[in-house]
Amino acid sequence: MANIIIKKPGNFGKTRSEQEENLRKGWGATITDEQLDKMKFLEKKAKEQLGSTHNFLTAVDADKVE
Amino acid sequence: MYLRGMKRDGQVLINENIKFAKSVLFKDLWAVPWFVDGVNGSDSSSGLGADLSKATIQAAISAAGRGDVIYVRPLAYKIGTGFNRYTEDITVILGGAGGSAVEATKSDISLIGITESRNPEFGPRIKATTIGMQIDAPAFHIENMGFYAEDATYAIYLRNNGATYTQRGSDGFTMYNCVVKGSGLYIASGGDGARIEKCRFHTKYDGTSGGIGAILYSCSANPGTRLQILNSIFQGGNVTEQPATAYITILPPMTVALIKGNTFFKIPADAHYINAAGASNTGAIVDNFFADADIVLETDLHIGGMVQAGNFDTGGIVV
Repeated sequence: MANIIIKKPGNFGKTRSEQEENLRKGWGATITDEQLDKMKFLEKKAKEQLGSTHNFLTAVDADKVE
Repeated sequence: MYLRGMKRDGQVLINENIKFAKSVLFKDLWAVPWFVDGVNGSDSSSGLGADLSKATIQAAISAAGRGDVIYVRPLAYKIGTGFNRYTEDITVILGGAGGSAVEATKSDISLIGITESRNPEFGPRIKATTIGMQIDAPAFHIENMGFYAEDATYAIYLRNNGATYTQRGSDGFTMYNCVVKGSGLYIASGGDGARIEKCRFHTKYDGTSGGIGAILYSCSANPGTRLQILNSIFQGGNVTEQPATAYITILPPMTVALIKGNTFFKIPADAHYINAAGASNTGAIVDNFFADADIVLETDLHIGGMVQAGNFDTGGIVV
């Protein structure tokens, strides 16, 4: 018997900040804590204003938050 | 529709005898994260989890589609040589058939290095044999990666071929917090909106740079526009701080480029910090620092049709 593996949607995180927090449990970080906070802020705004719960930001986007 | 199977580690294992509609064969509703681990990974693995990593960056890029994200784990540090390198010449194809109004199915892929310190010197590195990354797909994003191109032709080569519509590597390309050593970033030809930010470019060990400097953007065959080079550092090699040619060369016509907030280390008398000669190059060179006592326009800094303001050298403001 062979198994077919289906990856569940959003399993590793629906946003960059969720993925970052999962990465930090094992492999390490890709952004600073400050950038992570800024990403969460942007994601919250996107959810409030656009209803967007799935999105992917880059560190460039985080740096735009002052 | 419900599927029966065994759930383990966030995955559902299903007996092969179960049949289901093709539409159920999703990997993710949105961007898919892929994982590369050069030590523990295998290219025969799915790449869809940290414990299912690909071994090579190329394998992950080949598997990824539009909007996906690839996380790369650094290799072990070795005394004297630093982190081991992913020795790969990677190609990112356009995706799709090409042509006007045809979707590029490999667009918007992000390649992100993992590093605890956020210092790309201590993150994953790609060692180029000929060309470290050759990118034809639009809107490719690179973050926290090191490129070692001491003996290569280019560290990164963004290809764009205008009205032929089969290469769009420079359109929307972004590069953030990366280190490039040796022959640097070559962009040909033309394209729209490439952005290089908070990166560090070194020449080779001996101070040469393979004739392209840190960045060579050629618009000779197709026009370029809206290039941005921001808050980056341009340095020499290990034994000399002098590049053999200009750090940045822009062959016209490039319109509304912005070169802002960068630091340029010292150059030899016959070189240029920036060579944007040509009246059809337009844009702005602002708020940069040049490590020289008194740089001279059109000798050290060819601005072509661009304007410059707020630039400093060690002797004061550049006029």
